[in-house]
Amino acid sequence: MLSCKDLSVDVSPKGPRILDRATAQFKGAALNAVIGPSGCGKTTLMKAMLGILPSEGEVYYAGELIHQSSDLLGMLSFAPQFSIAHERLTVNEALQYALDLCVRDTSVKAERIEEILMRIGLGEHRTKGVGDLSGGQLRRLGLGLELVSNPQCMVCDEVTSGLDPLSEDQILEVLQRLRDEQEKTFICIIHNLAKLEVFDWITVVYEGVVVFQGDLDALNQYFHIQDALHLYDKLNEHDIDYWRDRWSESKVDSTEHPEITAVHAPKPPNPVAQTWTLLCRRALLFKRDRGYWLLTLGITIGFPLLVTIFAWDGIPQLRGLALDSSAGFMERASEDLRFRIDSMEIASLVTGLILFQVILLTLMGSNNGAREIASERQLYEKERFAGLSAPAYACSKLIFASSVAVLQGLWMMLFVKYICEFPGVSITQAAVLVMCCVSMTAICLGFSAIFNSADKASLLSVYLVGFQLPLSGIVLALPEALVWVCRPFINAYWGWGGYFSSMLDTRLYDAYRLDSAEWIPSPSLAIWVLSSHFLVGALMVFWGCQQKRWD
Amino acid sequence: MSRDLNQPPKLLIRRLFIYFLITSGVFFTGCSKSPFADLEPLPVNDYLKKPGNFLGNTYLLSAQIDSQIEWEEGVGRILAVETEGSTSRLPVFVPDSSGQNLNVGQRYKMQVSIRKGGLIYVEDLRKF
Repeated sequence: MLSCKDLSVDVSPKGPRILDRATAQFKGAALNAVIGPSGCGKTTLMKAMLGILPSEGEVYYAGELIHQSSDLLGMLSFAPQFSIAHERLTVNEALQYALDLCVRDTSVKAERIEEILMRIGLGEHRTKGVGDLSGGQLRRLGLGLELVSNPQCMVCDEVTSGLDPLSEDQILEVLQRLRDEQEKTFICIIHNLAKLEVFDWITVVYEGVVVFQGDLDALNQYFHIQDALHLYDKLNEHDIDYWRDRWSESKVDSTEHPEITAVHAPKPPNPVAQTWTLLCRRALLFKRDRGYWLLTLGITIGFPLLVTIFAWDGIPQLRGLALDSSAGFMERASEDLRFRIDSMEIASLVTGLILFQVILLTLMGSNNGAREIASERQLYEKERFAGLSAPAYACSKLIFASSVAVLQGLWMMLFVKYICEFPGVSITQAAVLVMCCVSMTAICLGFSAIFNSADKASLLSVYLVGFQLPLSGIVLALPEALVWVCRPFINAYWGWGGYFSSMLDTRLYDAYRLDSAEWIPSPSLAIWVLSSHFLVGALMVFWGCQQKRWD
Repeated sequence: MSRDLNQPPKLLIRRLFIYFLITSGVFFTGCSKSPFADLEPLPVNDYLKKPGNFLGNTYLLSAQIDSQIEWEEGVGRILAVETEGSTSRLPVFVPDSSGQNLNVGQRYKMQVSIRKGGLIYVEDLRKF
C-alpha cells in the first residue's frame, strides 16, 4: 500500500525540519490510524506522502515510486479537516457537482450518488444545505465527497475530531463497512486514543519522527503501557533521540504487509466538461449568495449613477470661435478669452467624467476578481487532488468574472452616454470601457490565484485601484521621468485615453486640445494595451492555479 | 530525491505567452508608424528666413490652428497656424478638397509641400 522511506520536510531551505527521515508503511484494505501529540507532524507526514508538501525522500504506492501528487490520481483521495463543500449547495448538489467533475459516465454517476448517500447516511438530508448540517453530518459528507471517484485508499485528516461520541462512532462505522465490503484502505489522523481498538494498524509520530508502527496490542507492549491513553505521558519521559534509536533497533512487527495491486479509477471528464460544470456551479452559487449579487448589482447600477450626477443635463455645448480674423482686436481678444474659459471648463468636466467612469470600472473589476479564488482555495486544492484540471478551474474563473465585467462595462457606457449625451462612436467606447473592467478583473483574479488569503488579495487590489488616479498622470502631473515608467501599467490611463480618442472628431476633443498637445493613445492602441493587461492577469491566474497552496 | 510538487507551467500557459509575443510583434510592427512618419519635419526657422530654399519639397508640419486669414469658396483657405515646439505662426493653404471641419484650437499633423512663392500647401492632414 502507501509507504515512505526517509521522508523529510523542512519549513524552508534553511528552516527547521518538521519531519525527519520518516519511514512508514501502511496496511492495505485496513483502517490505519496516525496518532501523536498536537503539532508532532502527523498531517505533515501525510501531506508529504501525498505530494501536497515539498519533501525529500521516497514514497511508494502499491510498490510504484510516486514522484508527484498527480501520480496518485484515481487511486487515492484526501479528505482535509475543513473546507468540505460550498455552504450554499445542498448535500445532493455538492455530491452531484463533485461527481460531474470526477466521473465521465452518466449511468455510473446516477448509481454512485445513491450509493454514497446511503453509505454516509445522509439520504434523508439530501435537500438540506451544506451550511445547515451538524458537525457529524459535515464529516460524513466530507467522506462522501471523497468516495465520488471510488478511490482505493482514502486519507482522512482528523475526520472525527471535535465530534460527539455518537457521531464519532457513526463515522468509524462507515469506515469499517467500507473496509469490509469494498476492501478500501483508510489512513486516518486521529486524536481520540480511546478509539484505537477500531483500527488495524497504528502509526505513532513524535516530534517529526515515526517512532512506532503496529497493532494496538503491540503498541501497548512496546511502550509498556496498560492502555493507549497513557501513550503521550510515556513519550514525554524520553527525548526524541531515545525513541528514534529504540524504534530503529526494534523489530516489532516489522514484517512487510502483502503488497496490493493498484486500482486506477477511470479518467476524469475532459477540461472543457469540467469548465462547464464549474461555471454552472458558480452561477448557482452566485444566485444563492444574495449579499454578493446585491452588492454586484448595486455597484453596477449605482456607480454609473454617480457619474451622471455631475452632468445630469448633458455636457454643455462648446461655442465655437470664429475662424475669420476680420473682427476688431478688442472684439477678437474678448471672444478668444471667452472661448478659452469655456474650453477649459468643458475639457475639465469631460476629462473628469471619463476618468470617473474608468476608475469606477476598475473598482468593479477589483470587486469581481479579488476574492474569487483565494476565498475557496482549500476547496479547489481538494478538488484538484481528486482530478479537477487546473486550467479548467482557471478558465472557469476567468470566464465567470469576465462575463460580469463585460456587463458592467456595457452598462456603464450605455447609461452614462445616454444621460450625459457623450458624443463619439458607441462601439469603440463600449470596447474600451469593457476592456478596462475586464482587464482589471483579470489582474485582481490573478492576485486571488497567487495569494492564499482573500484579505491579502483584496487589499492589494484596492491599493492597485487607489493608485490608478495619481499614477495615470491625468489629473495630477507626474514627474517627467516617471510618466512612461508608470503609464504602461495603469489601466485607468489607457481606459481614459481610448475613450477620449473615440471623440476625436468632436468639439469636446478640441476643447481639451486647445491647451494640451500631449499624446493621447488611440482607441485601438488602448484596447490592445488593456488586452495585454488581461493576458498578464490570465497568466497570473493560470500560474497561480498551478501552484499548490494547501494550508 | 527532491520531490518539488509545484508542477511546471502547462502547455496552455506557454501557448498564451507565445500568442502574446506574436500579437505584440504584429501590433507594434503595424501600428508603430504615426501618420506621415516617413516625412522630415519642416525646419520652421530656416523656412521663415529663406522660404525659397525649400521649394518643391515635402515636409511634416505639426501645428495648432490659430485663425483663418482668407477663404475662397471652391478653392480653399489660408490659415494661421502655431507650430508645435515653437511660437512661430505660419500661413498655410488648405484646399477645399481636404474635407475637414477646421476650427480654432485644433491640432493637426500635416503633409505639406512648399510651392511657388514659398506657399505652404497642405496635401493631407490628420487631427491628433
